[in-house]
Amino acid sequence: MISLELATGTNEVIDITSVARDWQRSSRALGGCWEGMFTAQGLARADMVRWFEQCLGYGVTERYCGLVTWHGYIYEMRLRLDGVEYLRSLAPQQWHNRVKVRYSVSGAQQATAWAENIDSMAAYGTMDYVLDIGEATAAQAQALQARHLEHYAWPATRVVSPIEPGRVGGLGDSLQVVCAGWWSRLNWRVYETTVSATATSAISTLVGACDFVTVGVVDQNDLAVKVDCSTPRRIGDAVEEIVALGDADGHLWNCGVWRDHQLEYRHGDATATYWLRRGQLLYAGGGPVPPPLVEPGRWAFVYDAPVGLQPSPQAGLYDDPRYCFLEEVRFAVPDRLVVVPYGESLSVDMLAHQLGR
Amino acid sequence: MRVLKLVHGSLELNLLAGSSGFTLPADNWAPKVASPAANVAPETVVEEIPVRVRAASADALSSVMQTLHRLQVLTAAWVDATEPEPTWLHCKLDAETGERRAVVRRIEFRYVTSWFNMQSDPNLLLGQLIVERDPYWESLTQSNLVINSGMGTLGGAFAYAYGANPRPMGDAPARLAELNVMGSAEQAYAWVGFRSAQKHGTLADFLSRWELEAGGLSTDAALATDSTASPGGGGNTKVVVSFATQAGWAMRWYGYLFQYRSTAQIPANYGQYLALLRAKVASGTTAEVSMLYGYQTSTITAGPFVRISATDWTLYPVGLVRIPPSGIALSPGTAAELSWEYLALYARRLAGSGAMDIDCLVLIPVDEYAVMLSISQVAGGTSTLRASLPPLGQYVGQYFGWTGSEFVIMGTPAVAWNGPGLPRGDGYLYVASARPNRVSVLSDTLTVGVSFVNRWLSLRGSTA
Repeated sequence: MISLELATGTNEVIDITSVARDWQRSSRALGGCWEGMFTAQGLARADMVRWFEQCLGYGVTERYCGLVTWHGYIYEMRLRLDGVEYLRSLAPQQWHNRVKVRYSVSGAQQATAWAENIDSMAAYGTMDYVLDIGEATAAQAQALQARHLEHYAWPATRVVSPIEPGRVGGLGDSLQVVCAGWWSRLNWRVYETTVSATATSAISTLVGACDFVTVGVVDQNDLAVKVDCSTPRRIGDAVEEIVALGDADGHLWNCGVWRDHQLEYRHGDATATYWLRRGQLLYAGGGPVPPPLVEPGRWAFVYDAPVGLQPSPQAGLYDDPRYCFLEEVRFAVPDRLVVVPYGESLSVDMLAHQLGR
Repeated sequence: MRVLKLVHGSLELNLLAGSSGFTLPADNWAPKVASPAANVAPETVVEEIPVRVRAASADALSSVMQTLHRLQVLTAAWVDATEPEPTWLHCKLDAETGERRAVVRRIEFRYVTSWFNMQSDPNLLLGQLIVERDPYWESLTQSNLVINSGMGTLGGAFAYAYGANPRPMGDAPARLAELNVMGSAEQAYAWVGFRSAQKHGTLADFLSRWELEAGGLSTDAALATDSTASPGGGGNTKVVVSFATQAGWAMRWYGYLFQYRSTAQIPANYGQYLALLRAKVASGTTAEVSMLYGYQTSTITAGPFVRISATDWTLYPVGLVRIPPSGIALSPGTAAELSWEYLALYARRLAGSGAMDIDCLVLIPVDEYAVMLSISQVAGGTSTLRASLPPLGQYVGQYFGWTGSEFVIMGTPAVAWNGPGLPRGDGYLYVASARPNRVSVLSDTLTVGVSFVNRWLSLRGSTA
């Protein structure tokens, strides 16, 4: 039985398990805690409005038997009142408080200085946003920059549905809440200097430039990498690029933000953590796995995999058809579990912007 | 039916008293019975109660109906624990002594057309009340389980049994009305597990604290005396992991259940536990631990990676442990089946050149009912962590701090739990706690108080 809590301040934590009765979330080998969502239940209209107005950015923690199993923050809320849908979101296209515009003059690349709204940065953190507009004058670029800060510096309420006045009867009020894992905060900031270093050093350097996320456990990977940031790169995208390379031996590496806002970069396991046997996911050893505790980035040994007439299992997990790398884990209360193997399609989610734009 | 009424605070509508206007047209109505479900609370129950509403005049009839409508509105508006009381449906059957109540979620009134009200009696209505209620019937009063002070913070145990203390008596898990954990010094974390004699047999045979000195030592591990280490068979002894020959991942400690429990005691250790490791590192050193369990070394389940960075003794949750590890026991279970249950600690050093000290593993039972409380900051001095499950089912946490002259609420701790409620009958309560940042001080003691409300699936019964 999981419990879900909302952190509203340093010493204020509210149990929201009964509000988020349809809670579901996902985690990824590359990213850690990824996305969660629920439709608020049992809230009066006034309470829904209060949530919508106050809770954006608040921390959300899922626990199973007291262990933290998912950790993130409220990323977006959609409130439907009398048939009108309102949106508050921390998506970069909806909100950014530090803006730069890149443009060219007669083919020569130019850029404005960063312009920012420090009040918004203090309240919600810093969200960088870079616009590319091609050939333009400096005045054009600055005007665009000013307009963006004017319009998007705060995560304001926006009406996002067509409005049909007079047709409000029978339309239920509702509040949908989307949460994001702390990994997404890596993409709030951009990096503008090309990084040449070992994979380990490069990741530490990039994460060190972020707010909210700090370097936790970073295992040594001596693979020499070069991350081209001559065009400003979002830090999460750059880290993802490094992690996806693996290492010189062709092994997978896992990287994610799991708890305490700390990034962990680890060599992939060399043995199977789970068994998949007759449709059941078990711990290697045979014990049942509580669904909230299943982690991506682990290997499952598939007992029932037909290996056919292929050559017998090879030297390692990577080329043995009986081993399956779990790239994504989706869990929905009370006990629904979906695991997505390596190479299969990950969920198309509302955080798709994290994959680059 | 002796009692049947809707109550919201001081507003009451007696469905059996003619003076209220409401009566039952026949005496054969009986409440429904919910069906228990695994892992989730049973569904709400929809009662269909035929009623006759009569008053002295049409205006008086309106007044009666307005009372019902006020209850309908109050019920619809009550959504969470920010209001003190929901609407209750009180009920008691003929010749039974125990009146019980259930939380009401929704009330509807439907007119019933029949030969009687077709006679155009302006003072009479025939109808049906649709009352959606919670599946459990509750006692009207809560029972207090008072626990003496002086409980240890590393797996302290308290036995509650019939005769000596109140105990959960209902046929459904009891609702936690109040759990208070007060420390001799400020405590910011508390893990409390309940287990029943009904399910686990001789509870005194369960071991909630594994002193590591009683197990086996592995790579770069040695015993050392330390007055701040918890006392075990070897006195105040800890295990020092020096990382001298291997800083990378290696097994540092292991222990078999048979090293800790006798053959006769072993069966009481079936269950699922949250494992808390008491550990610390030298200044400037960071280590990482992973707890494993299984049968001997062949079938192993790994817990999460846990970083050890505190230089004071600290309680780290290092994962869940199942005994037996497969989760499937022979029937009947045998000591031989469990005696080779194996816990192991693997560790590596991430930074620095110092040692890691490990002291004990505390196992908090989570398979029946467990409640965990945590708060990031405390006021200092003595303090009380409190958790409560109000009737509607949203846990509330409170932290009381001592300001020097009075206790005041200083914050709301996180409340996590596992299980539907306190198990029935005689049982044990196990507790671990820690100061801010999960710092564990051996001399700290606790007073733990529990209040609960008995619950039943069926209305029938004689006990209150």
